[in-house]
Amino acid sequence: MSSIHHRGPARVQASLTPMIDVVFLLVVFFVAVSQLVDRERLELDLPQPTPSAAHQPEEGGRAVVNVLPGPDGTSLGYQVDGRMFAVDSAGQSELIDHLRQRLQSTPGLFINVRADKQTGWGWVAPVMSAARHAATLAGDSAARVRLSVDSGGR
Amino acid sequence: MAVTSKARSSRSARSSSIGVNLASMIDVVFLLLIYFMVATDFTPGEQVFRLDLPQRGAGLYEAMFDQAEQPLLIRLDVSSGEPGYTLLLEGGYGSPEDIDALGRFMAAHRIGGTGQRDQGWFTSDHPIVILAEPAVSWSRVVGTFNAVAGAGYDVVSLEVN
Repeated sequence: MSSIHHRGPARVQASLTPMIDVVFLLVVFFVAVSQLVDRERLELDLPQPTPSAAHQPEEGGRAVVNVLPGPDGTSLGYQVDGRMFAVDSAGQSELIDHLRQRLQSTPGLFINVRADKQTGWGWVAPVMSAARHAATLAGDSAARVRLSVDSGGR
Repeated sequence: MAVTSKARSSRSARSSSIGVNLASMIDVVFLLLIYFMVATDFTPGEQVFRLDLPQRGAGLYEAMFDQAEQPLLIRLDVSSGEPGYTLLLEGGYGSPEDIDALGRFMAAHRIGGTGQRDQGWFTSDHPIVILAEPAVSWSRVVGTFNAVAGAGYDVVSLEVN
């Protein structure tokens, strides 16, 4: 008499619960990472015109230029893609060069301008000028600029 | 015989009972909760105004100003009195008292706008340039832009006065 029991072929079962756990963890991870990437939008008190004629932004590549507010309506500099650019002429040249590179690498790129509502127009205008120069250097006929405003939670 | 049947039915009831695994369910529910909290954007939504800036010294920019219709210039200056700024429409079109009045004026004098038929002076693609002083706040510049765009004009540009 043999003492070996024949159990038959091994049964392979997929356990769904751990798989769902892992899949959701992956989803949460990627959503969290994409949120971190979206931190190009600095916290600024944007203008909120009412009633607003602004619209939802179109899909497409974008470079977001944040005009950092300073005291008394001045600006401390410009931030694009995590890089700081000074408000002096050297910073302006670097900003133009950076935008030119972005325009050349991403055809049809939009340049979003975000500025605090108290900031003087004289500190925002150089961004428009830089966008125009960068578009010229990149060989575009016009700079596609978008002015960001607060939609009031809509 | 009756005892055997009763025991069999009791065994059958025990083997067919379905148990809910609470620990796994809580895992999944918490994961769903975290997912929706992360995915929800708590920051206020943003909208945009489209503003194309043609090259200076190139065809488009020149074309804008070389049109048969001269661009309408809207000057926006800082003022010490209320409401803290002045608006002036060059070409003898007057000085709206505030941004709301500018919006009403522009809407009333757009061809096909809110005004009477004989009051339509500007087409919706009439070039409009807002010339703002550097000291004017961004909020007022955007407010002026919004008033003109909201009145139905498509070709609006910003310049430093």
